[in-house]
Formats: sequence, structure tokens, C-alpha cells
Amino acid sequence: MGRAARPGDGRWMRLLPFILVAPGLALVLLLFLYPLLRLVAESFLDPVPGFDNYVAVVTDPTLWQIIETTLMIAAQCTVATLLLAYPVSYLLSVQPRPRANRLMMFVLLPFWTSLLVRMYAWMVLLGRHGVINEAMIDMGLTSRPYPLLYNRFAVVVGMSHFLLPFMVLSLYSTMLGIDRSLIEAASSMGSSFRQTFLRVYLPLSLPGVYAGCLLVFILAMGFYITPALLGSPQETTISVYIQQQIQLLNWGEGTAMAVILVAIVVGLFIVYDRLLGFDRLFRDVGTR
Amino acid sequence: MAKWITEMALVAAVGVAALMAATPAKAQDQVVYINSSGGVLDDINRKIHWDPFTAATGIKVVASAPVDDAKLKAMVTSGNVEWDVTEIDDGDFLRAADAGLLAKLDLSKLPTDDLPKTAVNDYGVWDGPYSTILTWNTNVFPLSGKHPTSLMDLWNQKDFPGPRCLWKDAYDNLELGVLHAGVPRDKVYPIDQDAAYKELDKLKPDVGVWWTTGAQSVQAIVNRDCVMGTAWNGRPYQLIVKDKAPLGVAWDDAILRASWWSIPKGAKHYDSAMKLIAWMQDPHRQAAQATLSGYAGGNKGTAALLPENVQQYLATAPAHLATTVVSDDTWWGTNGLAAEKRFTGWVIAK
Repeated sequence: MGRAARPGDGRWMRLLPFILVAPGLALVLLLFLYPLLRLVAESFLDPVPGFDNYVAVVTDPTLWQIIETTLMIAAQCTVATLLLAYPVSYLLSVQPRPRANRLMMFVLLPFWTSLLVRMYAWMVLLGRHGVINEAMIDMGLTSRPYPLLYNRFAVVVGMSHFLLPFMVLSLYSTMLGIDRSLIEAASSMGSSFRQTFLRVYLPLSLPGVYAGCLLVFILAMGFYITPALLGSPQETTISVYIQQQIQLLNWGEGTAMAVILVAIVVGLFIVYDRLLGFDRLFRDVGTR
Repeated sequence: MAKWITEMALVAAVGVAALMAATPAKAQDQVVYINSSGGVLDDINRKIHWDPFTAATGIKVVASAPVDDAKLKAMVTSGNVEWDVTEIDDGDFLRAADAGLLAKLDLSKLPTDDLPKTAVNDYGVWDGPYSTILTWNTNVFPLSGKHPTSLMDLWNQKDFPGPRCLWKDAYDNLELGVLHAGVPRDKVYPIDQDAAYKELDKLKPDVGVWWTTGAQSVQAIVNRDCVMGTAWNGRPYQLIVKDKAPLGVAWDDAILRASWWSIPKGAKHYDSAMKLIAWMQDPHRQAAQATLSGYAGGNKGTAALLPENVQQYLATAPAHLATTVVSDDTWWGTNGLAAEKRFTGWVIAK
């Protein structure tokens, strides 16, 4: 019957996309949407029906402080990954393809190491008597160990380590599509390196920047293990706080917080769309 | 076409029949699922209690970890209970019983006469008592010299300078706070939280690590991220005995709690679960367990079977009990949720 979907058979061609996405769609509905709806229901029903959970949660000053911290950490990680990923992606995009693919392996390497193992590796490196501090003391650069672990710095380092590949991939795919003759044209017409970058290359790479920043920011909002292991209590993120409520069998308030987190993320999407437009994420720069 | 449909129907019928035959019959009670802390303690339980239990009864013991009250609630409320026995911590234990998550035990199956009154009730039996004690790095404060002797030394920066490690939880810290405020050990409950936080405020700037797992508590001290901190007594014991880790321990003003063995409501193998819980009350096996882990069960006969060098590491050694605060589960069961919230607010504040 698959042979029926040859060019010209309009009915099959129209149905084919739906048939192809059906298994995936069913999976998403079953495994994502249904639990999400259950979670929303729980936030209104546990332990008694009503808005009590939302009143309790919204008037909890601790929650708002934690949300502020979570947003701040996500923003810091986004900036850090962008600054680190931009030159790397540029370098990758100008390499011959086989070499770029080989180098890409190094970018993707963190994906193949367990998150927990990477966190413990950072603990070994950043500890008060860890590799970095001992080396600095031995070289006479400092007499007292720097506080590198169990603070904001360690959390941003650990999270950026995880998030970097997402930013690199976003930027790389956009930069690959940039027509290099435009840069040559700018140079040949007397534009300086700085001008070429700021007025030609950077604007053309912006869709990748926007996509990468959105992806990284939203992923960073949900981090749990890294802030718990590498941070101090001041780096308590909303996921950690929700988990605490769930463990204390305080499900009503825990789920209400989760709904608020989802609302914040959706809100950010909307603001982002208004400011930048989602179509820019998918614009194919190279063909314009 | 008709033939094809008949064939398919036949295949389907055979398939359904095979599935039904493969579904285990209700009477087949030859397995018990137990959920506990995991890690080293699971290995020890397996060796001392579970494998011999299987050898004696033919009932297979399948273990899982970690202790997870949220999972317990999810299982019981959804009616799909995977565990037959689960470990559960003190204050959480009462909350879970109140929430109707635990089944009543058949106390006639247990050696209740050999257990302390506090160690058994309708919904659980002590897995084992444990204390929160002080542990410190002996490379920093050698045993031969001046070293910490009490949990109150957490506040003593003059003699023992350096960062501290504390559990990121209201448990223990509130008790330590009121003890440092001068409240006698037998008057700690009900906890005057305002007084506790006044003392904890003084300690907070010195806390280098707020630990969240038992392994982290001792690791941070071995790594010298902190010079001293709180830990559950089995953790330093296991490192000292097994790895000769540079750790010292102090028991004055320790806080004693217990974890419990309970049966979730709706457990599928209740009878096997009762048998296994009863099996784990044997004093000889509990003694062997204590030698390996530093944690003994509740049986009153266990201590007498242990050499002195092991006894001195047990939370229930008489010498330690004399200077220990025994946790009031009822206070924590009632006030735990609000206390944890207040603690989180306090600990994240800058």
C-alpha cells in the first residue's frame, strides 16, 4: 500500500504527514499532556478543592526569592554560553566539513558523560583543596584558597558546561548558512574587520543567537541537580523547591508551583515572540 | 479473504491465552519487594538479612532505592503498589501513617517483647536508630591534641577555626540551635524556633557546605571543604573502619532518630513482607549488620553480642545515650512541614 503514495496520488500525499506524525503525537499526548493536565488538576484539588494552594504559594516570599534566583542563574548561563559558543561556532563554520565534523565531536563530548559524573568532576576541580586551588597555592599565586565551589560561580560553570553544546549547535547551523561572499564583498569595498563583523556578520548570525539563547534559557530554568550539588542554599532553584514540597507530601502547593513555573516559561515565550518573532528562528538566511 | 481473517483470529486467541497463562496466580507469594536507602547499606542488608532469608524460606527478595515518600504516596493513591516493605524516616513516618499510606502490621508475627516500646507500633518497626553526631578531620585537629568533643563546638571558631558542614534541613539544626541557647537536653521539645534561629544566625556565616546526602557529609570533611560538621553516625564509622579515613567523632549533644520498616497500604505480598520484617529482628543478624555498618536494629539483645569497639560506635551505646537528645517524632510529625518551610526561607536568605 505504501506504493500508493506515489506522486499524483493526492489523497495519500495529503494524509501521509498525519500518518507519519501520529505515533509521535500519540506519545506526546499520552506521556506529556496527560500527566501535565493531572498535575494542573492536583494543584486545585489536593488536599481540598479550591484556590488555597495558589494563595499559599503566591503569598510565600521564599518562592518569589527562589524564582528571582532561578531567572538570574538562567540569564547568567545564557550570557556565559553565548560568549563561549560564538567564537567556537564561527571557527567550526569556516573549517572544511570533515574537520568541522571531527571538531564537533569535542563539542558533543559532554553529552556522552553522565551529568552526575561531570558534577563530581567539577567538585574535585573547584574544591577548597581541589586541583585549581592547590595549583594556585603551589605556584604562589595566592596564599589562601579561593571559594570556587558551593557558590553561584560553580553553578554557572557547571550548568554552562552542560548547556554549551545547545548554543554551539544553534549558532553553527545559522553560521553555516551565511553566504561568505557577502563578507568578502564587504571587505573588498573597504570595510574594516570590525565594521564587517558588526554590520554584516553579526546581524546575519542573529537568528542563531536568538534561537540558542531561548533554548539555553528555558533549559536552564529547569535545572535541578547542578544547583543542588555545586551551589549554596542561595542557589536554590524552583525545581529544588518543588521537589522539596513533593517529598514533604505537600503535593497541592508543589504542583501549584510547577504550574507557575510553566506559566512563567510560556510567558517568556510570548514576550519573546512579540519582541523578536518566532519566524526569525526558522528563517533560512543563506537563501536570502 | 475470509480465510485470512480466521487465521488472524486464531493467532490472536492463542496470543491472549498465552498472556493469561503467563500472568502469575495470586497464590504465588514467593517474592517480596523491599525499598530502602540503597548503596552500602543495601549490600550489607542483602548479605546479612535478605540472602539468608531467601535460603531459609524460598522467598526471593527484590530490593530498590532510595527512600522516597512522594513515590510511596503516588503508588498508594494510584493503587499500583510496587513495594511490599519500605524504609521511612522518623517525622515522615508519622505523616505517612496519618495520610493513610501505610498498612497495619500484624504485630503477633513480631518478637515485640524483645523490642523497646518506642521501637514498634501499628504501622512500623525500627529499621534502626541512628544519631546525628559531630565528625571532624583529624589531619586538621589531631586526636592527640585539642580536638572537638561536642556538637556545640560547631560554634567554637576560637579553638577550631574553619568552615562547617551542616545538613540542609530543619531536622537537627533546630535541635542544635536550642541546645546552644542553653535549653537542657530533656527540654528541647517543643522546640522554641525563634531561640534556635538566633543561635543558627551566628553559625550561618561559618557554614561552608550545606550537605544534602549522607555521602556528601563525610566526603566534604575528608576533602577539607569543611573542618568539621554533622553526619549520621554510620557514615564516618564505615569510612574509619573500611578506609582508615582521617575522621574523628564526638557524641555529646547528638540527636537520636530512627528509620522504620513499614508496609505500604495495598502491598501485593503482605504475608512475605511480615515474614521478612520479623526475620530482620533477629539479634544475631542485627549484630552482624552493626559490625559492618555502624547501625544496629532495635532488638534489645543485640548490644550484648557486640565487641566493645563496635558498641562504642552505636547510637544506642549507654555512654552516648547519656548525652543524647532523643527526637520527638510527634513534634516533627505535627510541625515538620511548617518548620521545613521556615528553614528553607532562612537558609536561602542572603
